[in-house]
Amino acid sequence: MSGARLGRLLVLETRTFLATPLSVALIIALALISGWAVFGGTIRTLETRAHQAVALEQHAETWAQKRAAFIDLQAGRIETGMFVNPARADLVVMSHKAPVVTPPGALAPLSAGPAREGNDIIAVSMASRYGQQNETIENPTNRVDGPLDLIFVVAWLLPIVLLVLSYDVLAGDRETQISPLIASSGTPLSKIVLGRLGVVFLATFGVIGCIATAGVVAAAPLDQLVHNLPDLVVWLGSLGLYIGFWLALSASLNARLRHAAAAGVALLTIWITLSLVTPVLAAQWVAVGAAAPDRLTYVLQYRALQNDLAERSAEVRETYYGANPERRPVRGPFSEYEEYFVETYYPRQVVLDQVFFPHAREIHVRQVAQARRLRLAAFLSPPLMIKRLTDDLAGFAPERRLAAFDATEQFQAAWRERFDVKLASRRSLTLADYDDLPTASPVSEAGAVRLVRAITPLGGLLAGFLLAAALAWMRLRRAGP
Amino acid sequence: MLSVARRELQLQLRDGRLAIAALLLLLLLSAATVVGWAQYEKGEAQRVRFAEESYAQWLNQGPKHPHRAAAYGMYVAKPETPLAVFEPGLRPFAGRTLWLQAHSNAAFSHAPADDDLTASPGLGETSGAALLQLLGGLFAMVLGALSVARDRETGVMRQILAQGISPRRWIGGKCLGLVAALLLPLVPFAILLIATTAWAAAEGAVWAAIGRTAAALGATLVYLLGLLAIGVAVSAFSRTSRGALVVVLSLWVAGSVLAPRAASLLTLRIAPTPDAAVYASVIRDEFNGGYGERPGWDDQLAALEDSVKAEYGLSSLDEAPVGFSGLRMQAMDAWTNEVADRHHAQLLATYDRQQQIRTVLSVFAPYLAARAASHGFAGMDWAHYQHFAAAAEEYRRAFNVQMNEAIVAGTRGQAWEMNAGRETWALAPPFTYQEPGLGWALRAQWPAVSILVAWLFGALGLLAFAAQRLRP
Amino acid sequence: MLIAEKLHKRFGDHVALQSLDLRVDAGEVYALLGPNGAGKTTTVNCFLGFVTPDGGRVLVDGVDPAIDPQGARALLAYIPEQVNLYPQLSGDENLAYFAELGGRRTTAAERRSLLTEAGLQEQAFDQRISGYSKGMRQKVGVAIALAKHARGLLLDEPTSGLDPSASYEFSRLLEKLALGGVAVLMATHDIFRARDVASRVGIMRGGVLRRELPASEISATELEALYLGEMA
Repeated sequence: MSGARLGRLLVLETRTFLATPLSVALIIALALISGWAVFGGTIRTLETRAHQAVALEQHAETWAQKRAAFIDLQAGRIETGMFVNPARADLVVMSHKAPVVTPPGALAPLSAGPAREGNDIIAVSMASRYGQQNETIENPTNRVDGPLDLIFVVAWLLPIVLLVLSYDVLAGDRETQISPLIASSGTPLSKIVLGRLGVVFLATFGVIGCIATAGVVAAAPLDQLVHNLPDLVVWLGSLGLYIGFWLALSASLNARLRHAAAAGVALLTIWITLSLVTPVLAAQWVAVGAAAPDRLTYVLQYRALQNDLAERSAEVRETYYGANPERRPVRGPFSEYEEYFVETYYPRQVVLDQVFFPHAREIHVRQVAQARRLRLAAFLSPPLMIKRLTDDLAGFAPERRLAAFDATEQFQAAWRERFDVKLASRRSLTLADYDDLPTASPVSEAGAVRLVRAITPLGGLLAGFLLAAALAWMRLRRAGP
Repeated sequence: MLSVARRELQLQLRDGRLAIAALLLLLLLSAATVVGWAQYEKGEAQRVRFAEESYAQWLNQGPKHPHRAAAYGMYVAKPETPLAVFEPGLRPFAGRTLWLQAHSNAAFSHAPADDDLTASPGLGETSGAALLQLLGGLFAMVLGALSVARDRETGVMRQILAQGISPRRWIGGKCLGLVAALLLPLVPFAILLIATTAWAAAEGAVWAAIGRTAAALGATLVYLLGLLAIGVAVSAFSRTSRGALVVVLSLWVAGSVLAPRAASLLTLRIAPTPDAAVYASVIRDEFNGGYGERPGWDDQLAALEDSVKAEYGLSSLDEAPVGFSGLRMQAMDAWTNEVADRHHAQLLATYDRQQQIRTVLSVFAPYLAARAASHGFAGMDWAHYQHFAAAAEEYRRAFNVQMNEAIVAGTRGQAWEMNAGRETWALAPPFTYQEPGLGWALRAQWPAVSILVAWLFGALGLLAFAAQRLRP
Repeated sequence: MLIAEKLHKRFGDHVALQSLDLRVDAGEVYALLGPNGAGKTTTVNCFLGFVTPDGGRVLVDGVDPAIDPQGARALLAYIPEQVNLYPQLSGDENLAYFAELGGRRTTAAERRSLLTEAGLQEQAFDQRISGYSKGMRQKVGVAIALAKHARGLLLDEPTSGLDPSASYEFSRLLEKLALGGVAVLMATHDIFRARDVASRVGIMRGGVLRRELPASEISATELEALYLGEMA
């Protein structure tokens, strides 16, 4: 079939499509829901960026205030107190929390991921961060349904819209006995089906693709836009394959079935299997092969370690000073509080982190293992594949969380390195200590790393589409009126 | 009418698709329950181990300052009812553990979904209850949708009505037959589930477990019957079975797939939960600065110092015959609790408002009501979590007071350092919790159950109207 | 037994029936001839109460279907052009079901007798309808009508698509029913069959009964000429 003829067929089918109120209404509904979801995602992404910027500003601002207080102290404008002394590292540094931020991923407006609370800000201080609780005050009833983001619309709702728009692409004509008339027109039925499904493809891909692109562009800072482009292109490609997969399935069933209702029920059954049942099986397969980290056991381990170190606090202190002689206090404590925090609490925090680091990291390593297995398991279900792909590109890949964990670890080490001699040895701070405030760079990930990770689900989507399309083509070629 | 029902059931049974769908549903529900059982068993074993080890760690924490002991605190974990094998409710998104310690109110942590990618793969519902509500609902609607419209489409309806039977009796009979077809896979499953939950229940809690299971299944059945009636009504209004299918599918997607997420979005727009960091900082600011006529902590501390000096006739607190640091901790905790309670009350009011919004929204989407009832009867809804958190918070405050009293008794003047040991830690008994009964759950769920019953009657009314207007 | 008086029915702008007067007495077979859209099926639908007339009325043994559709239908049996039955059930099961809907419980022996009387071969009784030919389904339809002991029988193109021998058998069955006192109203295109089986023939066009004449006084060829004349 020549390009011009295909074009004419598309125009013809577009007219028919536009003349069907149900089709137009569905596309409008899809556009509204997608627009709403992407708008919400864009706002959420911008808010996260704003929160992270505020956290970094506050870090710098609080430090600047402390520095100003130090200058005032040196100038004799303020007096020291039991808990106020800008020259004492334990009072200045122990209470200071420096943020490590993980900026939203390239496609963050398209997926809210697991929708954790907070804004991907990890607070780092001199104390151990492994004892921090991930406490929440959110009503989990609001989380249990998941967010209404674009990937939900694409992975869950879009197939239903495609199903309604295409389930009777040929069976409907057979039922009303129009198909013999159409078949006798000279254009093969397969081409007519292709034309009709082409219109559905263009309408749905156009609507979602434009809305998604607008959201990604609106949410990204200008300098980031170019970096996000490959992610967007990969995602749009996946969207095309995903839509193509469902339409090919529809074509395949319509090639044989004589009743539209039968085609509809069959497609619905496939949708239920791929969208509801298979993800459950995939989750079970992942759970068996890559068990989730057992957080409660880690908690007990951590607490047992705390108890052990507390009981051996004198030994811990001496070991610490033995290994770090320059950190031994150069003066006696001003108060029993200072004595406890500097000589007992702080060395214990350092040892706690040294011992517990591999266990804490293991939580993220296990999540990465789960994600890798889930990407393979997603081969069973195109909805799961596009969901995984989008979540990954939106910045919710566990690998990124692991990278954030490692970056935080490095930053905390640098932060301690900068202050802990003064803190542990009770030497007074100088103005130079207040200069060049260590600030963590935002956690970043090379574009190539993200895209390589996307290869597995993308390959799965491609394979799914090619299989469905080949099956549809073989069956359509033999389809009769 | 019964003969129509009998024949309808026979027709459905001879339709292989129904048999396959029913069998698949039964298999899925059973598989989900088996998986749910494994998760429940593992979770309960972990909870018991956690409770024992955490309390043992509390007792064995060695000699230390009582406040540091309180800051170390202990963990408690919410128990689950046996029905959680079928309905895990909020489990994936609500941590079941609470860290009870000196400085802040108990809040849940360690939600499985935060760590486990399979707890929320983003698609697919894994629990038996969710599958029953989602797929059972779709099954009921499709069953209804294909019934009358197919008979109209094939011309059978014309001949049936020509026999002189009234449309109302015919549709009534058909509905009864469809109800029987719907119940075929569900009744054996219900019996199995009741037996399972009774088996899993602790001694003395068997009837409570059976009652909760029956109530949850009853509410779900009312929901499914309502959907079946809507499906048949749509079918009676539609000229073709494909038209009826498209309508019920749209209703199902809107009501069961889209509505829950839209409801969450709307709820959070209208009544947003405060950001955890902001919530904590507001409490901190109020603690320092006070509210209304109440002064901030520094002023309260100064007043406490004055009153202790006055009470004992002291010129310096160092001379106090009791541990002032203990009194200070007591006052600090009392003030912390006062401020926290104020904000916690506001937070609870926000939760209540969110619940009210959901209840209103479930008038339009009964799936929300069915799920709320199912969560509630399984003891896995937010109300039950809150009930547990309140009990844990009461326990936390009690042992905190005990630790502060130990400081008062163990120090003198302004001295802070002291050590206490196991006998002091043992003053806090192991945490015990009595979960609320079925009556409590029923009272909490009456709006959801009422909405489901109203929907059923509404659907039956619509069906009667459709039958009245039935034309072949 | 079957009476239509000044019957009028519109569907939007289309006038389906216009002042139709018709009467079919007990023991009489009345054939309603006419082209597509003449109003034959609408007339049958009015008797069945599926369509409510805009003007005039119909009576089935004194019962107005517009007021008491169930009452009227209880007195009638109906055989459409395409007898639609449940394909998953056998001929015997369909008969049992439809007879019960019509208010009559039947024994297995009665049903066998009815199906035999309708001309269905015995080996087909317990086969599913999905394997039946059109003629076989028509015979089950007749058995259902027989089971009902109806006083009026409405037929809508009953012989369309049947082979000549099946049509012949069907005609004899109608005669037998009429002899038993049943009033038969048959809407048909089949001039020859109408002439063969009916006692009176009515020719309709555009919702109007153009001509009514006794079948015994006219040959099939003359009837055809008259029919074509009315259609011209």
